[in-house]
Amino acid sequence: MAPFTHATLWLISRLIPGPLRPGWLEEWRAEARHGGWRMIPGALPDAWTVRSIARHQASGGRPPGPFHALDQDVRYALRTLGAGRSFALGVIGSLAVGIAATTTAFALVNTTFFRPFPAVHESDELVRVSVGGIKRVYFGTTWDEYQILKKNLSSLEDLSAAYQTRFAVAAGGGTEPRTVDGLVVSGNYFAVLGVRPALGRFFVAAEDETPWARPAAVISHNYWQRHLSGDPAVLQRTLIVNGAELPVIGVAPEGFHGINTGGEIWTTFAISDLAFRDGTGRPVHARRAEPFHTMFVGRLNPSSTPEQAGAQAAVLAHSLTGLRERGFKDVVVRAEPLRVRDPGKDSLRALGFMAVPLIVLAIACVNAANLLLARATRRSTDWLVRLALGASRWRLVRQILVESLLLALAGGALGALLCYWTVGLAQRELQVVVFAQTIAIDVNVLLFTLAAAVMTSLVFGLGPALSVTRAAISRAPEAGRFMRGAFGSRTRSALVMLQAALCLGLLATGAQFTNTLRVSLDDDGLPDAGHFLSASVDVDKLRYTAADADAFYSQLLRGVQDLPMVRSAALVKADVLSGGVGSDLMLRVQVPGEAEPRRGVLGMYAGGELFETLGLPLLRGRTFSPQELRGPPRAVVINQPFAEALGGDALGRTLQIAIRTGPQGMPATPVDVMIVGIVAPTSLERTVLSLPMVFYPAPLVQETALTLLVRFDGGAAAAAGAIRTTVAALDNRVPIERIFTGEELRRRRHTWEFTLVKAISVLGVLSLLLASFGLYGVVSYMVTMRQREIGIRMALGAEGGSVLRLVVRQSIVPVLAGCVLGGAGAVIMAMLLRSRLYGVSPMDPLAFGGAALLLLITMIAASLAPARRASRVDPIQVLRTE
Amino acid sequence: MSSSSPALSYTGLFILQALAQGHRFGFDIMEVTKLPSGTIYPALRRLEALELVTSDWEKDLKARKEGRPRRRYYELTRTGKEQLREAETRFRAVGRLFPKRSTA
Repeated sequence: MAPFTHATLWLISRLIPGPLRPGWLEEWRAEARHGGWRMIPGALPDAWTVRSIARHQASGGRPPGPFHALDQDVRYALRTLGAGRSFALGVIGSLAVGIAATTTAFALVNTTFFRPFPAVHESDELVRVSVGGIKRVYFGTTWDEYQILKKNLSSLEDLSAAYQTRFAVAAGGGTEPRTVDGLVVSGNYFAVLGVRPALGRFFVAAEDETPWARPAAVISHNYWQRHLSGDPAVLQRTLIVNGAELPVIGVAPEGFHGINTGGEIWTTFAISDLAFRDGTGRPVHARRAEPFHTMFVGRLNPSSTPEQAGAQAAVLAHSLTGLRERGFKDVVVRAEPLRVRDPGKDSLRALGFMAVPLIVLAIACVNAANLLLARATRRSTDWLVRLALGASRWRLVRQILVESLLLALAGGALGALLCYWTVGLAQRELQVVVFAQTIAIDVNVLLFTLAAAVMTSLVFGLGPALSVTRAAISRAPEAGRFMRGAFGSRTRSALVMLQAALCLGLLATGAQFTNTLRVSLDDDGLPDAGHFLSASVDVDKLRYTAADADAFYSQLLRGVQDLPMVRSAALVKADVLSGGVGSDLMLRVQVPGEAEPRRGVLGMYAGGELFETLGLPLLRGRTFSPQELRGPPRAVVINQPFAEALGGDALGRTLQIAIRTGPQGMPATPVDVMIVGIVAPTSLERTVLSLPMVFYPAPLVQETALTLLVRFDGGAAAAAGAIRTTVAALDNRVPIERIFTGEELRRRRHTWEFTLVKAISVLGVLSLLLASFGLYGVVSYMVTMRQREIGIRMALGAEGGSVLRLVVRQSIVPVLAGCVLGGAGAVIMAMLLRSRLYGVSPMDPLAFGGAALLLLITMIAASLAPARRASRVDPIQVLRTE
Repeated sequence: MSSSSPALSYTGLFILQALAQGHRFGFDIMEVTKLPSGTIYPALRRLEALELVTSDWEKDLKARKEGRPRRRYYELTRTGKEQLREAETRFRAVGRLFPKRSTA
């Protein structure tokens, strides 16, 4: 006998109670000798029969429990669902869409909130130690403070430190350097996390002590595969990291990118001067650097609890405070269990995130409920017969619930597949990575899908089950054939209304956000964004001397200005266009005759033709002369907000300005400057340029990370190419990071809104499809049930057209009611979200009207097909069958 | 289903008849009745539970001589035989209701 047959029989025999099993197997093996594998389909029902007979005999005729003969219900359900395949497919399809949407959202939430860190050993034992203020702001810490924490937290086995930075990394052999996220870590970092190398070795504890004794790098699995093409001899290779040659000593396991922060490359604090700079921009070792933001992760002793660690940490605050100056006293040291996020705190946000997909699931549920209700009503004779034969009401309810559960499980399975596909697509196409982790479909997600399916089946099954059986008990068999109102029952109308309401809510919210976003983008304040380019040109990584850096930047600016397609070019501090007030933009401004320096004034180096490039009109005075641009700074241009803050006629006044450095650094020497011009503030949303600003024509300290802003004619690709060539001609080791056109910058500034709007729009369209499908189902059902009535109407002289109008009109009434309800819901939603979305008005008539119109048109279209069927009813045919 | 007056299905009747004609194991009955395996075996179990049929194993020696596993042989019990006779009478009576068809 074929092993396949053998194995299948053995598997099936597992169904059979132990004592009967050997006999059953022997018999079937004998039978299969004759019939071969085509006997197999019979073995399963046989085994099932043997099993139920044995059970029945074992129970000795006890009264059946509430779940007695459940298998009968399942078989019956499968058979009836198989018979009504279009119904089953409709329900399964609807549910699959709803469940897929919810599961995808949950997969994101799951990755963000619940997933343990990949490759990390026993992450429950890890605690995060943080140094901050009372109100949960995190402070930077110094190396000495790290040593104090490490020495005094005795409840921890060890404490690791990691500083996130970006490295310019070249794979060697003259390849172009690339900016890569990386971490500077303590030697014990990998040991504390319990991560094992995929290849080679990791750092050891002593390796962070002696500067430059054994410089080395560890790379991520991803970097190895993507940029070194998985070279098996990677351990013999070196990387040029920020200009220094580092041998690769190990490869991290797949999926590991650090804790909370993402990194592709790790080095130790022994060579921290690769990444750290002092107040004047010179490389400095972490030991002597100003406080820097560090992620401390420690592993608990086996005998200690996180609470003990927390208590120890709290006491340490005292010894840290002694080391600190000025505004950074009142230190709080915390040690808390490490999680990606805090589920307790963030569960509300997670729920908010899931809200919209849950609405889609609700619409799908309503669809399923409607279809189930329709079908169950059609089977009213069936129920009456069963009741007459002595079935209890529970048995009928159970039958419907079993059917809905089967449907929901099938929908769930399909939904999980859809979700798998969606997530895969999102990751491939959109490069969605959440907190350095890839979104995973794990057991949690699958359990969620299962739970969602079961809950869904209860939600959409119980209502119809109860209402139909109630009707069956209270009414004569004929009663089910006569309809009350348009949908025959208030329940169905209410369901249609609810669906329309949910759908309109989503559509209107989506339309409104899209509208708001478009308006805010059009009015972005950066004129002619298509001919604007920004590129970060960063020599910080290359250990340039101050003079070299100055020379490089002035040559670069001149070179770019000389390019034929360039209209104007400027050099500014990085990221002025993406918002974020860094402490490096804070300027100490002393107005002569005033006791205190001005607060809240920002300052920026504005080399080249900044105002022309950004399109900031000069209101008064002049811009910088070529001589002033060569420095040192003697003249400044200020913007309107600062001019207003100064009061009176600002032009021609003198100021003392100085860069503010970090808390431990000395303030730079103040420079006397004169205000020569006033420019308009930008209307660019959320950028520092709309705050009070002072622009100075030459750097006050050495600048090592500047962004080139260019306004050009012609194509963006040509301009970007020319800029790359210019940079490479000056120094081909300099990486050009983040070349963006104005359009791209604008999109990046609004990433959050774009994602939200896209998600809501997609879900809105899905819900519209679901709702229209649902209405179509209900109206078709209604038309079938009312054939007799329609036949009589037509026999009495009604025209096809008037029947059509009647059916459509009656279908649309609950939809209209739903529109009102959904509109109200959307207003509330917009009010709730107003704080998150800039400039959303709670009531945008255009968006609401548009969404309602779209919904109505779709719904009329959905009811039109069954209505046409109704209008073609042949009265003679109908009345004869009655 | 109460066991006092077991309703005999067509399938059950076919099987009882096949057994009465001397077809003794599942595959044999399948061949002669042309019913699928998924019908025959469960029906045999039910008939056995209703004590219309009993089963016994084939002699080990005989099976080994023919080089195959033992078969389970089924046979009619006394009640089984009675049921079959009763059914025959009943169906013959039914047959007389449709004289034209019975000649065809």
